[in-house]
Amino acid sequence: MTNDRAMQLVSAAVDGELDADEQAELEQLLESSAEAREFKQDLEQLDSLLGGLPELDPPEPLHDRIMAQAPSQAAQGKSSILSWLRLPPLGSGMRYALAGTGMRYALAATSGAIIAAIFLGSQSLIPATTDISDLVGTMAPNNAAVDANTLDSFAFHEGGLDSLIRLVRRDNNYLLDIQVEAAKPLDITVDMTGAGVHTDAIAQIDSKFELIAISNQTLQLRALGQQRLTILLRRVDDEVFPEDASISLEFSSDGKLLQRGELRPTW
Amino acid sequence: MDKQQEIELVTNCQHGDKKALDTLVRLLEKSVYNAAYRMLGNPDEAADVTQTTFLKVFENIGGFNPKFRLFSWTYRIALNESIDQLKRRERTKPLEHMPISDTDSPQETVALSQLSDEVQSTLMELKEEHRSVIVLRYFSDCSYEDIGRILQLPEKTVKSRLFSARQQLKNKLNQHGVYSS
Repeated sequence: MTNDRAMQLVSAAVDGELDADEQAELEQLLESSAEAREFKQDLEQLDSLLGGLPELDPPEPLHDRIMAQAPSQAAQGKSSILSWLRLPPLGSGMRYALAGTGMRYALAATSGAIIAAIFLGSQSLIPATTDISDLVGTMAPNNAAVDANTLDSFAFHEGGLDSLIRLVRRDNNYLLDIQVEAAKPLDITVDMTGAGVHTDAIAQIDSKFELIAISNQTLQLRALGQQRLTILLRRVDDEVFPEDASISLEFSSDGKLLQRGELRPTW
Repeated sequence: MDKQQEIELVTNCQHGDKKALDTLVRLLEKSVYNAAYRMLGNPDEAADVTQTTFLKVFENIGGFNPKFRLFSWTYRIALNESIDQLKRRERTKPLEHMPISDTDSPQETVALSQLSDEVQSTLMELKEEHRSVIVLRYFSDCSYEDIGRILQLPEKTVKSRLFSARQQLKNKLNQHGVYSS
């Protein structure tokens, strides 16, 4: 090859990036230089090798996962950040702990298992993801409030502590929607072990929760005031939903267990 | 999609039209995933990066000026995310050769040819800055101008960087017997 200029010309020619003057210069060069012709052939071969490689198809659920992040129309006007928090891949034990400013509730409670802690302060997170606007209901705990998409629900109601937990189907997704209205801190534990689903993403969150700790199949949170959290669930790969699948719930306050309950969905 | 259609799409996305967001994702998802995969050599990480890329697109589409190219902007996010992912990987373990066949995903393994594996392994040996231009040129079909816009480099630099990257790739492919000149 005569020089770098010649090689760059050939390179640009293979990329179809020459202007008319450069094209003329290259033609002259190719006529006079066997090395330039060989180099061009060489690059064309590389071009064809790389260009011929198969394009990969993204994994099938990726589109749904991406669209689960899409802001709802109602949320669109708001400033946007942290609209959706994706959870890390499976197998990492307790995966996220989110805590508000009043983080008195010990992270140590889940200590060794927690691999990440995100302090959100008083910042509000934007409701997002799959359209959950029609999930907004009253806090009136009422097990009868089950629509066609609601697989099961459980209402807890005791002395100023109310919670309604619903398991809802949305297309191919499942949403665990937790609403709380609590005059004092209410601790809720959700255990999905053996239910054939795992946590996948936080679809909607109110950061005033004092603590949220999420693992593949368990969820612990402490709520005060009117709060809401919606978790996107996924099926455990290739697992047939167990017939007796249930999601167990525990409600406690001031360290005292107040009630146990469960969701028994017909998947 | 022509420029006018793209402007309409972006405007609709900015107004929170979910169908428009879906169209945007469908338009770019595969190419973003492929670019991320070629940068990272790992299908799971590529999926994560693709997802994060669109999360950022959703978060920032409101401030996006439709006179700029949507794909350039999206690719820029994707490449930055890929590079961040590589840095995270470096912090957790030494960067090492990661053949595709080592992946846990049989679906991907089946989908890729041996040649693609070899090329990907060789790509992973290039420096990030060289890999970026190769990925954009060959796997994302970008022009020099596009590459410049995405990587925020003058076209002249794109040209010389692509030239060096291609030479290195060619030599390494030669060494691995994947390609003979």
